Amino acid sequence: MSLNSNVAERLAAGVYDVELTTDVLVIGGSLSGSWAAIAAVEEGASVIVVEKGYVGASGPIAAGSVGAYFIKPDDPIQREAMVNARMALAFGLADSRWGERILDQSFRNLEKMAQWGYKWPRIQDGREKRGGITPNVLAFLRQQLERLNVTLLDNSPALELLVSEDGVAVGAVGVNRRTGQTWAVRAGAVVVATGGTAFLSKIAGANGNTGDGYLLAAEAGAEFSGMEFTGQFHIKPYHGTLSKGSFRFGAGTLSDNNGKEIQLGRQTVNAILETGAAWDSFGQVEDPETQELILKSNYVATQYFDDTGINPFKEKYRVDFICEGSIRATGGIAINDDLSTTVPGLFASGDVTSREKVNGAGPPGGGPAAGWAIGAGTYAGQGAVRFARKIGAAAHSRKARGVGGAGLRPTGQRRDDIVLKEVIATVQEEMLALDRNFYRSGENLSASLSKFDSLWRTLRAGLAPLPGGDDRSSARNLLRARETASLLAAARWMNASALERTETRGLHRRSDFPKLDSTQRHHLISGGLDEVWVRRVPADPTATFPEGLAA
Amino acid sequence: MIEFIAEDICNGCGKCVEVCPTDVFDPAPGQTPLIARHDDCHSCRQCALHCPVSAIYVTLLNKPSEGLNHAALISAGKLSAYADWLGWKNGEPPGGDFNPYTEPLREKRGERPPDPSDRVRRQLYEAKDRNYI
Repeated sequence: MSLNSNVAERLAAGVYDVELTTDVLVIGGSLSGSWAAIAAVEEGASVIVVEKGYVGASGPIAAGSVGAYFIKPDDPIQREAMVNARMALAFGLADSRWGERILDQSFRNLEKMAQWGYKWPRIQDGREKRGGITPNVLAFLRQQLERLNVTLLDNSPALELLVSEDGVAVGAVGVNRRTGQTWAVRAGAVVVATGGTAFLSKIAGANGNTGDGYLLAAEAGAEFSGMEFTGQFHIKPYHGTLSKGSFRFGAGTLSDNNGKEIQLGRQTVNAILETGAAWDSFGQVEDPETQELILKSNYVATQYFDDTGINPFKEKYRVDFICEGSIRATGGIAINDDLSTTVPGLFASGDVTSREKVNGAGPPGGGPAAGWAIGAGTYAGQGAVRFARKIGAAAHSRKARGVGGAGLRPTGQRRDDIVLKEVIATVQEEMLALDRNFYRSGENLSASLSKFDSLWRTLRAGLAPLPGGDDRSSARNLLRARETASLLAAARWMNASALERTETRGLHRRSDFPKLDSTQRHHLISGGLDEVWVRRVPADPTATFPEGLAA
Repeated sequence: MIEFIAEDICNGCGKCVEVCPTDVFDPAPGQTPLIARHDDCHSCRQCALHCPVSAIYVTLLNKPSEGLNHAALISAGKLSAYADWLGWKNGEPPGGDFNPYTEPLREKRGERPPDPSDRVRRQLYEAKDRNYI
């Protein structure tokens, strides 16, 4: 196989333009991947981060701002509030001990940033307000990664994992989507930190999040947990992109299409479904100085009013409830105490993991999710180093193969009639719809699953890399195919889990089972590619809860 | 969505091509990059932040805008408004967070005490002042 061959042919033949070895490979360079890499390098490991976009400029947080949760080591009241804040919404599926360890680590990392010179804003009395995660934080973390000599491969999506004959994750293979070069990284351990997915709902910063890590991990044998707790939607201006509820700063008054006042949440969704639209207005704020502060303090979101010329203090503006999917929800890759997965050598952190241990049935909210990304990132990085040390140099010489399936290695004849855009549209019809994914029903879930299963069979058998083309477009096509397969696969685990849970709990709302069923206080583990499966696992009997919240 | 790159401001450095998480641009070495996959833009505004000469205009809208007056937007400072707000200069991050508006707003608006039966909000409300370091 010559280096002049097509990108896909080179990958299929295991011919790589760039071959690297490292102790720890981190896939995904946003908030959690950055902290995983920092933790690993601080343990003395060599680290490579591969990122589909640009390390420090990708993921939803590259477009937004959230206040990451943390707990102070010396303030029991603050500690209790932060750990228990979401326990009432966890519906008996979380564990205070996990909240403590994650948010303790979040505090340590935010403190570390201060020591490295990051300027947290100060309030009038001089105290620092820490935890505001913005694009500035991500860019700062990139600088730290560079300073710590972490190798960063930007624009380098991983397309498949390398797995040894005895089932250990020993690296990944991918392309550089700008040059069309193929790359392979052999590693002592792999951390996947590729984020969740909102099914390309176009919320700001989230369209790179196509669930790639779910598919990579599942092909190596990883399992998922809580994939039914993904019915997460949030308010945003109708043609806006930023779903950040706090930009309303308590200023908004919501109404349905008939002018009747409604509350944020289910009432908003019902207004959209039943009256055709929902509207917001900041009309109650009359003081011009306050008006200006509201617009200026959250320009990350209020730029929308600048763009449209809408004056929210004078006129009502239309709002929508947009799918945030697993990005601001709890379901994801099932993880153990050290953030390892069921695949030896494969660790996971951030939005791609299940956050049930901290948030149960959800919703976690952006603050706890950011705290998780930061804290879990560190534990995943440390866990990966421990694993890599145990395996030693043997990792790099072990015989391994790429385990990528759909879109890379078709099981049948290549089909030219598969249109990726149409596959994505079919997935979106189910996952973005308020009346199908915010409110779910057995009937709709069964119908969507059989549609998805048949689509998967077609893709798995016949989706093959296109021959010819220049390297860059060939790499892009290959990535598109894998992203599409990932979106479809994610939708199947979610809907299969949602079908299995015949009750309403947290982020899982069944219109045919509108009540919580106390006998279903269990986790749903899912997995499988050609055949999706779901099984029940009892909630951890040793988990601790604040009094009265064991649900 | 990204709307335009002002050709007479762009210095052709290609940084936007490098940082775009959804691969919207086709590079044009030394020249203004091409917005080749407009529909893939998800308004993250990282291109605008990293642009050393503030030549890129990105809206927070999920559809293209019509009839934009480029010159007016440029002279009104809209191409650097978001970067200015975050404190970026010449495409470089500020190494901190300097939003001067949030705290005055909190002080002005006060914080409405939550419904006492809402355990989550009540605990967070009570912890608020304790979050400062």
